[in-house]
Amino acid sequence: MAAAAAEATTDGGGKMIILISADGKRFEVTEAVASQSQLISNMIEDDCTENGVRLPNVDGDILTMVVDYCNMHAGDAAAAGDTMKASSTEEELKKFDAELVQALENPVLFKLILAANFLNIKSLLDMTCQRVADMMSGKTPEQMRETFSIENDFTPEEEAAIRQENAWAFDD
Amino acid sequence: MEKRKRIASKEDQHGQMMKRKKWRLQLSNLPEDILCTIVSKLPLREAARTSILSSQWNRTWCSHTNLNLSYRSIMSRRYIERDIRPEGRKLNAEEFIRRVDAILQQHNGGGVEKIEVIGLLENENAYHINGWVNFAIKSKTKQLVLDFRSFHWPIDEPYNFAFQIFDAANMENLQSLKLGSISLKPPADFKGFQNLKRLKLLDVGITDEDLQLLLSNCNCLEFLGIYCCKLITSLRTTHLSTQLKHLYVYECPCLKEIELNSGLTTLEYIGPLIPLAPPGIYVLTNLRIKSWDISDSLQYIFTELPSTLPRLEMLTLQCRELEVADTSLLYIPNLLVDFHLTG
Repeated sequence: MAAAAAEATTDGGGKMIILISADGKRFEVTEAVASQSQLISNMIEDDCTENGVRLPNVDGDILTMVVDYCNMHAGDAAAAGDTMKASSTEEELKKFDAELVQALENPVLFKLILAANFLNIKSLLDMTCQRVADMMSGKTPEQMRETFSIENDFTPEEEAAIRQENAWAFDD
Repeated sequence: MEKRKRIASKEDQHGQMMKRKKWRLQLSNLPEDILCTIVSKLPLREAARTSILSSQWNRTWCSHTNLNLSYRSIMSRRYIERDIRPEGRKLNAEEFIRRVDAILQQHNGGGVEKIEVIGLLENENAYHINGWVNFAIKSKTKQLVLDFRSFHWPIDEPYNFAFQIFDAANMENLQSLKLGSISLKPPADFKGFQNLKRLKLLDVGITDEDLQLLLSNCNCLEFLGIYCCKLITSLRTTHLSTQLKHLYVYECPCLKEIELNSGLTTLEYIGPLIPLAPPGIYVLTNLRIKSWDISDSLQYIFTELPSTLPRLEMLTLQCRELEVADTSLLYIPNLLVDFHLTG
């Protein structure tokens, strides 16, 4: 642990932080990149990152995606240290975001949502939740149940009563 | 029930390892607040349809944070079509009110981001509208839209905005307010909307004095839009703090003068050309003017504006005819002049 702290040297003007996933994978990122997580930003403020940040409920493969996302979006914050990142245009970011979530299988997408929620990265949480909403949109209740393995535990009578209560949402 | 039992016994046979391997994270396993975030990204009608998915989902949509309550969003096509006849219009308003009341009654009433009520409503519906404003206050709504403009029917008596519901303690969440075809008469002791950043008034009945009073304590206001307000003759924003950066004034037929505040950076003006600013130096960088009779005022634009607007970077003029357009008269560094000839 002490060695890890020693390895965390400054690079390009930004202090480095080590993130450690549940399965022990280590990721070295700049403070600017990590600060997009409100959780880590608070830890940096409280000087709690010296020995690396353990994230016991984020797997390595998910953390890889999160770190990629944060690297890509560090943009202006990291401009001083990395001009390449600062130059990624809004269009490039949009394309990157779309590709990041598009190909994910449901359970991976949900894990990414949980990680974004835990790390408190609002833009990533928004984007991943939007992806799920897009997948729900335009589907009938039956199709939604099928897509997301939701078990209908209502009796036909209960279902009819709910339809009645929210009739405005079901008439066309 | 029997089916479930059978599955359970199968899992017992294969042992715990098998069970763990088969378990996949599902949408329904996510915490309730995340499900609410997801459902809030659906249009309200689609969100309400998730109530039928399962008992877990039944009330998730009731935390929707973006309540778009318009004819388009909560009324079906057959209602909108009968809007053509006057009696249909009245029936529609009643049905619309019933639906909005029912939706807000089911809502859990917490942390609403935006409430938009767009419908053909008048002061005779005030009891219900006041209830919705009350809901907006209680649910700590940040953006409130009450737009009752009608493009087909004249409005007999516009809704009187319920200032009495607001007090210093409960108005602090409101950051954005948009009102359409409403009458505004703030009480003499009105203290302003303390945290309001954006205010848009469209076809709102408000006098010069009442507008002054309304704006007098809106110290956080950054954006002010005044559109088709027929009673306004003079607009003064000088008393506003330098927070006000953007002013939009469209088609106010009786407006004779605008006094700008010194912090303004964008001014968009559509209407007959009137003196825009008293002598003084402004930091305005973006000025857009659309006017029919601009040709008569070119002298003013080219000789008066440079002295008052030395920081102007973008000047857009839209008019029907532009006979004399000698932009060389404008000596302002970095100025880009964009002429649009229409008509």
